[in-house]
Amino acid sequence: MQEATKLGDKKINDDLLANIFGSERRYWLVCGFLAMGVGAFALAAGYMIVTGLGVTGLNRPVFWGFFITNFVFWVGISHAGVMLSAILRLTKAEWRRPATRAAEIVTVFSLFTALMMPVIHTGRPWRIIYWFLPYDFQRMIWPNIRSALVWDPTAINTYLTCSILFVFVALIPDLAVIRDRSTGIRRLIYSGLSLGWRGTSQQWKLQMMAGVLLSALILPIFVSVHSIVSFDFSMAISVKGWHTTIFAPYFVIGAVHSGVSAVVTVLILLRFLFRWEDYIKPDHLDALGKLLAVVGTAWFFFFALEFLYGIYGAEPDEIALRTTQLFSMPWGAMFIAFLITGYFFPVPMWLFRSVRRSMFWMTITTISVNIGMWLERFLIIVPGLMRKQDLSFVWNVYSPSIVEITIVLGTFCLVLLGVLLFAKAFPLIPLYDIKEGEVLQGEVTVGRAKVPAAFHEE
Amino acid sequence: MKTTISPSLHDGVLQGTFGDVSRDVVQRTSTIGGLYKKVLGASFALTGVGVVGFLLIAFTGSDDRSQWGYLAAMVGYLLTTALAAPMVSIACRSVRANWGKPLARVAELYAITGLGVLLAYVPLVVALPALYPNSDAPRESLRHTIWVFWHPHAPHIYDSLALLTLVITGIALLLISSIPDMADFGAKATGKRASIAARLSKSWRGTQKQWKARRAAIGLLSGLYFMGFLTLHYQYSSDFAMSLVPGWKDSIFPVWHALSGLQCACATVMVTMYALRRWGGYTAYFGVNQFWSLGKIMLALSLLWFYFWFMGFFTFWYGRIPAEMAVLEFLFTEQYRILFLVAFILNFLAPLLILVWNKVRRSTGGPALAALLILIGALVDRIRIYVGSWSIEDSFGHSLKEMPPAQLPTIPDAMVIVGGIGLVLMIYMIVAKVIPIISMWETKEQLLYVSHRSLLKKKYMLIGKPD
Repeated sequence: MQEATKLGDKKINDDLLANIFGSERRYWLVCGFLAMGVGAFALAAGYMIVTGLGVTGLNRPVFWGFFITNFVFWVGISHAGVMLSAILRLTKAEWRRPATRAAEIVTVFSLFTALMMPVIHTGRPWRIIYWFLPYDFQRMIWPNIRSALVWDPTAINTYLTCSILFVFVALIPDLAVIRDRSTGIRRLIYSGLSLGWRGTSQQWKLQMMAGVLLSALILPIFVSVHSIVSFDFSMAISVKGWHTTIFAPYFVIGAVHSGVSAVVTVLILLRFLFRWEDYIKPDHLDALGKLLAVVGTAWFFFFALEFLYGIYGAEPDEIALRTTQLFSMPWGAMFIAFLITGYFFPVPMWLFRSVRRSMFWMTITTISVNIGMWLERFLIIVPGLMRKQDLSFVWNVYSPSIVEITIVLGTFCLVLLGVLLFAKAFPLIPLYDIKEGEVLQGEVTVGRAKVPAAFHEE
Repeated sequence: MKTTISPSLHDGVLQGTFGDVSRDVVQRTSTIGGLYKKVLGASFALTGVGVVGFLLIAFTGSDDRSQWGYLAAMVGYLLTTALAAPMVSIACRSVRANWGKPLARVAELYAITGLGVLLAYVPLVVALPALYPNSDAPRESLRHTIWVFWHPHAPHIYDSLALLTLVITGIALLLISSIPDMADFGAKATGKRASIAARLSKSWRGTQKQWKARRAAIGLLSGLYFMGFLTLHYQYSSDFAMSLVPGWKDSIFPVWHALSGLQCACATVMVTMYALRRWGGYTAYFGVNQFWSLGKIMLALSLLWFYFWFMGFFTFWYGRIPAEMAVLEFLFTEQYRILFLVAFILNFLAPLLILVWNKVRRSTGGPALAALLILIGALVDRIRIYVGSWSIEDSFGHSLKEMPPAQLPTIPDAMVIVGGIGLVLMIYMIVAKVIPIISMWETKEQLLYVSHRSLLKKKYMLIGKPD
């Protein structure tokens, strides 16, 4: 529970809108650096599209490599928004307040990026049209709607639409505050966006109801998205190691593990960039650290089951795949790195209160989780494909080209830049949520001690 | 010993002093009423019926494994309900849920019933086949198992150890968490039971150091219990069900089994809470807030029950691999279709349709009814899984060679089922008269942290949460 500190409405407005009305130099420096990364990404993608997929490391039988790994990774990161915003709102966790908007925005930009990856992966992005049109008009051959590869973009697009709606509904009161502080064309734009918000009690009631309803409605979508992404693998019975029943929840919990970690990293960056020490406090990181320790352990349990059932019954081809993953280089080294960075380093660290409350250690541990989670997806996808299967006739080792590496690194810059540019136009910490939190703060006196408390509606 | 002062509920907040809570709970624990005697007598009788049923099965002379299917189902059911119940108190404590404080002991007290589960488990471990058909058999003839490179009797050894560890941890957790209350009961009541309680809490003085050490022990034991709970569900569901059905390789099944355990843990506590409120007079401790909050968790777990089941089912169904389709046919769509449908309705559809309404959730009867249906559904489901698995004669190979017909219960089977429930009830009721069923120290904490305060001209609940 956070310690009670009263900032006042004026200070909250001034602090949280400061970047919109005038940014500091370091903000532009970071944006500039990220823009260079995005430029490199665009150049590499453009080069690949012009030259062809031959410039990548993809070849028979490994046709899913860095791009698809990155796609799964970014879909995973997008799960932070709903976890922190919808679930914590429904469970009335007070400490969620400064983290919700940033989590939702990370969700939106990572979903955009995720959707981009299969498009780039096709090598000829215009061919994406065949996702919803017959690829042979004369014979009317339509895409197979029974394929998980068709369900996947549908689920992601639904999630993206709902996430944008979720962000927008929560933004309305804050947009009205910006409107009231703006002049000229800016005022006009924010007037339109704030949909005539006057802050009447009826408007507040509707806004709150919409928030709770959207939270409840978005939950099934949240669960279904990564479950459907997991179907891309678990429904493919010919690839050893993929057809396993635990994949759906394993992917979802892994997504929450990496997504919440990413939000912590972003929150710390925002705290540094915008000097939000009064809003993003060690208390918040402490609570997020505890949540991450629980989620991480649940994820590890699922991972262990997935692995143990891989060798269940000692079927020779499954044993061979696991042997490749564990003992042949470079996969074995990656496997160890994945375990250490994904679980054995960060989670034991989070057991210490001092680590959970430290900006430095939380940055290191949460970045470590995402290195591990990226490797996890890579180790699921590539070794399985690399081995000769029933319908493939060659063996091959996959190694990514510089083009693929540039594109993948560029996506990290793209998401971060998107979040920071959003912060130039909209507050990344919800003003009204923070103000509401201040009103609901209280204290209970127990003997000589003051215990932080919060008001709850019955 | 009669007193007119007792704690009461006002707008969902418990009102009273520490003394009121102590007096009330001690008085209720030391009094043995007529209804209590009747229920205890009935549970004794049911246990007796179960013992006779067990003896009838054991002495029929047949070494057919399928005759133990119902006992395996009963043990599976008790792991899912009675031994899962302490998870409710562990969860409430870990998130510092104030509403969960009065019901922590109700949940934890079920740990002691693990002694009964241990007794029922012994014949099963004897009947469970080894992993190899014989000691000279090649590795290829290994039964599908989680113990791939282990001793042929690994399930027998490690499953027993897992169960024993869970039971010991649970009892230790119960005793350590109830020391202050037993000391209170021992000091304020008279009689044999009070002296047992006093002896069990002899060293307790309530010093700051003792409270600190006790809290640390509760935290540690809770973590151990949680891990033990997951491990046991993983091992028991794999070794006593999945491994006996050739071709059944389902990595989500142990998780679903454990999740069903969490759902039933809430249901068990809910039904007990309802009974204590309705017939035990504990109305002040179990208000609508407790039913509402636990009901919400039960609703979420019912949805997850469906999600986990569906993901397993769908992966098999979509894959169309003959060995997996045979398992689906056997356990879901042919032999045990009716049991599956009943379980599906009672564990998912009915709780969803009842608990989705906030008005119903905010009552005492609605959530209790949903909980009762969940408990019945879980029993049916365990019968489907374990009786089906134990009815397969040849557990070796990669797919089901022939599907035995659904095995209907014989009279001894039914006796074993009711006996198991009776045994748990009997142990619970006896221990509840030595260890107070309401966690007094936690209820007193609730008195300190929860109150009504005015905010913007309205009254709200102010809930304190210490670090």
